[in-house]
Amino acid sequence: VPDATKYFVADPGQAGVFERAMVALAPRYSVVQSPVRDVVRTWLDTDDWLLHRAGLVLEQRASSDGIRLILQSTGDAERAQTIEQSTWPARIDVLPEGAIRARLRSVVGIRALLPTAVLRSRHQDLRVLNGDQKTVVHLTIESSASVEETPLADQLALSAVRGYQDQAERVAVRLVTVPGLSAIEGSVYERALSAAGRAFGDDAPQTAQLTASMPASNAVVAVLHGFLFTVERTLGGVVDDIDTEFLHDFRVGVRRSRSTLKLAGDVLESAAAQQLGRDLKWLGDLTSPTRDLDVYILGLPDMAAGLQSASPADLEPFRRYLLSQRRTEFRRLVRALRSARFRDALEHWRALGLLAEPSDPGHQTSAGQLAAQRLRQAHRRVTKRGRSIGPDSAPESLHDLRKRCKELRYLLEIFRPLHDPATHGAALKDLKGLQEVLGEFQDAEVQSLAVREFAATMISTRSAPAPTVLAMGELAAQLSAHQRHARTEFAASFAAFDSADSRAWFRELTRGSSS
Amino acid sequence: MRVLATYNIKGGVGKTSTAVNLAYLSARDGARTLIWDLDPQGAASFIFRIKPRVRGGGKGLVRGKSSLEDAIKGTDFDDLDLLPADFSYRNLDLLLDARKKPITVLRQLLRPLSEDYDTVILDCPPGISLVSESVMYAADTLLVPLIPATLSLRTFDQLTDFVTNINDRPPTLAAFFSMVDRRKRLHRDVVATLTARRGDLLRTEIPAASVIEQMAERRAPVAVFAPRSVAASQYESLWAELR
Repeated sequence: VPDATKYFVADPGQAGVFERAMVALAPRYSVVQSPVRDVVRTWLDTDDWLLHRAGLVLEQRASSDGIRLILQSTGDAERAQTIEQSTWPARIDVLPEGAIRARLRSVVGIRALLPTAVLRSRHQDLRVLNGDQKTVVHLTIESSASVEETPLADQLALSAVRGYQDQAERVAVRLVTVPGLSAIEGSVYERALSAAGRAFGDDAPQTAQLTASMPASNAVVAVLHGFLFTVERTLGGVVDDIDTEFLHDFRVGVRRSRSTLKLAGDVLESAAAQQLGRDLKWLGDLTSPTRDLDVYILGLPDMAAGLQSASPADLEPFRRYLLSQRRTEFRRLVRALRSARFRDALEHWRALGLLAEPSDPGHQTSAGQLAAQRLRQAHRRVTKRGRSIGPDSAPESLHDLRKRCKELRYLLEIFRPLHDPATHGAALKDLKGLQEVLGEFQDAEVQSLAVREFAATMISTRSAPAPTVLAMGELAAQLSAHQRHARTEFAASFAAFDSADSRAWFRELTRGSSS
Repeated sequence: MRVLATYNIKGGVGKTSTAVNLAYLSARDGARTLIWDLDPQGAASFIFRIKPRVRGGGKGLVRGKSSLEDAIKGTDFDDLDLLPADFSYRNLDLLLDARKKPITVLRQLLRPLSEDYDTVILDCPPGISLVSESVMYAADTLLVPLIPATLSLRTFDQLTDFVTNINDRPPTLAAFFSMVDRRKRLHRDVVATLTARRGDLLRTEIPAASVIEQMAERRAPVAVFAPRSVAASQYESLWAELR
């Protein structure tokens, strides 16, 4: 956390600590007190902690003076701005134009900002002056409680005015001698998070505790429960439509679970696995229309910018049409996510562990054996199908290969804890390159077909003026060009994946599969 | 990052008062602002209660041995920092002269600060020297306080010619009348005549006011201790013209 502030807290049960602190400073410094203020401090980040990962801390401070947004970053001066917005979650578009929004945009992109911790505080600011009556140190006495009513220890925050770090050190040295006042590590943000029962990076699923020797069924259940964590954690954001990436992450959890069941579900009790498989297919189908529309809507500005003869404004009816379709599909999705069927599906998922007890522990396949065996099979499938693809092969063969690559990728990710990180990373690298090309090929085709279908529907409902249809035709042509480009790159990316080096990495990962 | 510099060949025309007050207003508007007190007398540093001393002196800065960033001090105002004066700045000419392409040096020194500050205001010492040439080369806008005297026009015409001949990127000239006493007929006449002859002067006039003189005593910008004064409102207008 980029916070150069030093913190001191009053030990529990100690009264008059801060008054004693002022007495300790008095012989050398004069201290000027400002009136006490009530401040609501709200820290903001994206659901996946993008700001924290970029070394940024964003805080909103609301008091009777107004609302200030303060952005701190490692090794950079703090930026502050007065804002009107005080309702979160929200996308950064609600912020006024300026340096803070520009900096945030480069980090958070399409993600919304959500409150991560909120403190209700009583602040008293104090200025420590030197002999020239110049402020050299800022002190703030703060008593806070989280909105969950968890009180934090009363604290004294000390920050140096730029260029007066030596004076701040001297003040700090005096403060540590005050009985009942203790210096502590960590920022107030970290303490506020802790009071809210949160921690940086708590969006990440609990890494499945896999070991090579554990029963394979337990390993598969642990993996499936990791994906369940993602689905349950993102559910609120999907229903509230906070930003499009909640649904994306939700679907990733569902899709990876389906693949896990398909590739390794045979080690589970079959009735339960089949039920979960049906539930997951339903969830996948349910969420597809909204996500597909999100992809078109998010990609439209870039596609519009690439138009050669039509104007981006010609696509406005198309954009409105997509938004209207999305509203309809989203309502349908939310109804389903509030249904008894969805609650039952989650129950089946949670209950999976109860059915995974090994029937005969002595003869159970181990997680290590399962991983090696399934990875070897999946790698063999990708290699075989890829090698059979020539310059004239039908698009379907590439689509099929893309699915097999995904399976291999999921297996690699599922069993990552069992692998040597360096070998794992090397094996993944060429696979990722191949997947990118295949993904571009597939996406361009699907989107191009969809644009044609949308155009047909819009014409039949008379919601597309001629310039819009022409612009959509250009979009479809643009997408077809992307697809052709991806097709030309396929041979080289597959050759990299099928190289002797890459095969050796996979051999290393699947060693012992026959044991 | 926008660089403004106060300059006049004459001393005592209100350069430092202008630099200090505009820097304060810039920061008050939320722009991260730095004022560099290049005058060895250190008046701007004094007003902000900051000791006019830079470790390594002007030599360290010009030769790149000490960093500008390390010398910067925070003022008592949010978003406003100051790079203090140093008595060694009296030899800045000689130090610059010892460098290759001396007039580009200040601009080069300021470049690393472009991420940290939105506005930089250079408070330049009076005179014509390598320092003032370097300041003109570094500045986007040259703020020229003119006292209402007949010779001011001649000086301003000379400055205009000089600035126009700066290669590469001549700064925009922003001249305005300073220390105007409307009770004096001479001042009124000179302002009227010069404004008519040069249509490119700023509209705001800074008055000859005791609150401006009090800045050195109160050690603060006018807007801090006399926010309702005419002088404060005139600096506000001047800043609005430059913003």
